[in-house]
Amino acid sequence: MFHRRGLLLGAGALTLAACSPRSGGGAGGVSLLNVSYDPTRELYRAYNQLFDAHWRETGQPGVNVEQSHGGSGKQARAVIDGLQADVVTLALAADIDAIAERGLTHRDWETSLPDNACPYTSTIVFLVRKGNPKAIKDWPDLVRPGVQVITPNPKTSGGARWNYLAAWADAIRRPGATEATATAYLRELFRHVPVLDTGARGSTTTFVQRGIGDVLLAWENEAHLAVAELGADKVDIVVPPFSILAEPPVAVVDKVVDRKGTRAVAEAYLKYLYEEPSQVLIAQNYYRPRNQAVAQRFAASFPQLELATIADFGGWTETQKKHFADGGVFDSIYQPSGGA
Amino acid sequence: MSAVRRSPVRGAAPFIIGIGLLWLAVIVLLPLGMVFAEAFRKGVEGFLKAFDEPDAWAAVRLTLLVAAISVPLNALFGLAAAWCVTRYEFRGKALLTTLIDLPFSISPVISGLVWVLLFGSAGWFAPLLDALGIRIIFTVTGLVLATILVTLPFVARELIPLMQQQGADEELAAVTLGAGPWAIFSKITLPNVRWALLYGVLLCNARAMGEFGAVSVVSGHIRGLTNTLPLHVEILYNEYDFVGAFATATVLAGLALITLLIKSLLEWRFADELAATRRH
Amino acid sequence: MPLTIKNLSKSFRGFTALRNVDLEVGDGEFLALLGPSGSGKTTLLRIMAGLEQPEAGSVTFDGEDFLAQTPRERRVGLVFQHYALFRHMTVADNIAFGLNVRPGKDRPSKSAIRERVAELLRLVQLEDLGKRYPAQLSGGQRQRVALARALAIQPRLLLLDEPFGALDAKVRRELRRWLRHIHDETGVTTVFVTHDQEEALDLADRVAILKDGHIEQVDTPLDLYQHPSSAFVHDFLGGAVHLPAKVQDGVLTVDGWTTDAPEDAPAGGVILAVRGEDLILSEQGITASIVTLSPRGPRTRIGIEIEGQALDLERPAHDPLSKLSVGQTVRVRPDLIHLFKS
Repeated sequence: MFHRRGLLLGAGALTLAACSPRSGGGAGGVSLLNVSYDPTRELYRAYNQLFDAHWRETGQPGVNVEQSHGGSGKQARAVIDGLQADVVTLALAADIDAIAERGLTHRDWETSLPDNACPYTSTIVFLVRKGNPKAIKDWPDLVRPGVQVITPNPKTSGGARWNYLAAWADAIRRPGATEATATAYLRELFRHVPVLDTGARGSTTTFVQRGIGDVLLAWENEAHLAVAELGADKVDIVVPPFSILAEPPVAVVDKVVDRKGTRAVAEAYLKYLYEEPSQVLIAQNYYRPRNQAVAQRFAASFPQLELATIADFGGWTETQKKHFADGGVFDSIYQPSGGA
Repeated sequence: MSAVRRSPVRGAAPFIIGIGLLWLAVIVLLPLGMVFAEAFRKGVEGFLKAFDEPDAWAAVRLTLLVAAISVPLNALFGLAAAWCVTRYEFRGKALLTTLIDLPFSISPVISGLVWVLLFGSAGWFAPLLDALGIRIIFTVTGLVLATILVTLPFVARELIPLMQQQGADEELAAVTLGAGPWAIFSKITLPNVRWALLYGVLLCNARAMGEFGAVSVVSGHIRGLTNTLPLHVEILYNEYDFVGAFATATVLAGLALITLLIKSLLEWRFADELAATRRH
Repeated sequence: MPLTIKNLSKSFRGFTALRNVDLEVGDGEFLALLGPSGSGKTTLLRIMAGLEQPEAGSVTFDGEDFLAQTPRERRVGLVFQHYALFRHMTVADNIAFGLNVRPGKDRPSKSAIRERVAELLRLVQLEDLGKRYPAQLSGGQRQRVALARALAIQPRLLLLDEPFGALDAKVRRELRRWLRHIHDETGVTTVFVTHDQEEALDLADRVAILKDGHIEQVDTPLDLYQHPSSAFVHDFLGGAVHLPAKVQDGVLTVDGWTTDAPEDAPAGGVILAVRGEDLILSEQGITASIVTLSPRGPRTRIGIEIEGQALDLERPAHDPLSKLSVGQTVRVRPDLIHLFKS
């Protein structure tokens, strides 16, 4: 009797046979898991090959780095729940702090690597329609009548938090500005947002594919990627005169590397990000490199602008509590039903 | 021969059928057509490029593996549960039937989250799993568990009403004729429900291959390792590779169509038997 | 006595299905279990078949403890009301089933099984239908297959649970005769459950009447009819009215009519149970009024009322009762007197 179940079991057996185990970069190789945030896919795909080659040159067996990408907060949450990341390369220090709080990595992780453990930085820029028909040049332009702004939801997206803080930083440095005026500016800004996606990529798709909005607030590297992938004929990048220094940090997850015995490789993996070949790769992917020499070489890609930092806000813990926690400033200014 | 009585509904029949077909076309055929159209927007070459990636094949293998494990397990469970519910009286029978239906009523995301709550690092069983060095969430095991939970009811729900309606008489007759439990099951029960079983397995399979929400929560999204086809489609979409995303989606659609084809073939091949059992 | 049941009791969730049932069935006997719905007859049959376990009591067959045996060891054939044929197997496979599931050493050879199936098909007169499926048979044919299937394992005891209940009247009557014929041919001890008293009285060597889980009386059909041990049995075996009466000093008084009381009549207040067929017109008698009168060719159906109770009778067209008219009041007396203590 011909049984559907038999067919499936047979298929299953064949599939199991076909599923060869992932080789760890050659005989006796090591496997690392890099849990990262969304926009770094292209960067780490290239970097992993670079690092593997470098590691072999030092006489070590090859390294196979598995990648996982997702919203920064969601990825941090996953690591806390047991995702076996050897290293985390996330969007905000707050996300790695959350991991440290659970004891998965040591509390002063930020001092383990140079530059607050951020081998590259980025900033927030504007992506506008080709030719910039609405002449959007600076932050106050965003709240002009008729201008629609696309940004993800700061509650769910790391990138969106940088967007928000950049806007705030600009508002607060204007002459005569107070907390009240900054709050008012942000309230007005979010009134101009027709669609609040959960993540950076979602917002980019909304802006470019669906053609909604006049300006997208985005990571600089995302903006460049969007132009490359979706058409230089559709959108332009506008770098405002003032923005925020977005510092996406990296860290080793102590609990995992100690259990797996991969500490040496993992630490080398992150350290190598600061070396020149890596910094060139970073710049090629439109992240701002820390290495001054490389930065000079790629100066054309990265316009100079005035930058605020998270330190100006008193650090991430303060900022989270004040702005993004439940009942914080963002909750007070944004009601889901309100829209321009 | 008396004149055919014209019922008022008869006149409306073409109209109602038309509405039904239109609805089907808009809700099902149109989106399906769009998927195929978008997948081939860059021609056959563009379509095939999506499968150049090893990650895509890993996703296909993973999807098939997860389905190959969950579906037979749920088929066994469905048979056992249907047997218990329709052949025995016991305290808690109503509770069991409600529990079987539970995965239908809760959001798939919850179906995934419960596993994280149970087996995640901060979960109930964390100390035990840690001590034994077992990892469940963010591995293929977690994917299988999440898939099993969301597809749990399908086979049972097909079998229970049928077995209820068929009654236990044939099995009791077999008992009196001296058949042992295995003979009763394999010669009487199973053949009587095999079409409902097949249908339930097909539904279970379709859902297992296409599940997104629950699987997304427990996956960890490790490229080439814990991304099933639906997750891979999402990844491609997020990388602005729209053609690739839709091309991969056509594979999912293709797998569904293949299962439907197999079902139709079987029904055609065994049409006589099918009619004989149905008439009873 | 091959089948001996002693003191059997069975309850389901608080409902007592059988209480203290004693019964004996002789070798090769054809016994009917007769009673209204809920009287416990099917439960009793299922316990014999091994499909239920009693709470108390014993069942022995040929001295062996039935209750301790598995259904296969018991070698009991069971025929269900709704046939319970294996719908996806041919008629031949159905009949052969009991032989096919025997463990290796007990299983006859394929050809032996084929022969036995052919033999049984001949017995039940369905020779050419071996390759058909149950769905392609009529109700009567299906029941015959069910019987053949039960007989295939050469049962020591054949049990039938209202086997003709799902069939129409004509088929029922034909199969009734045929079943008795099969029984006489094979000689197997048979117990037969029914709620149709005509069927029971027609077929069985003895009939056991059950009420509320207890056996009221076991006797040959004639004895049951002529000497019912209780009002219930009397009533069950033919429509009757129950009239309050009094026996004093050997005289029976009912509704103003007196007659000599039978010798063994209880004294004092009694119930006079009267069947329609026992009534005759009489000068002295009990008052009865004619409510309906329906001539039906050679026979006439008459509905009468006695002391507020309705009774149906049938009489030949030439009978004096058939010649009455609706609304008429007459006097009738019972030819046969059945008295029970009230």
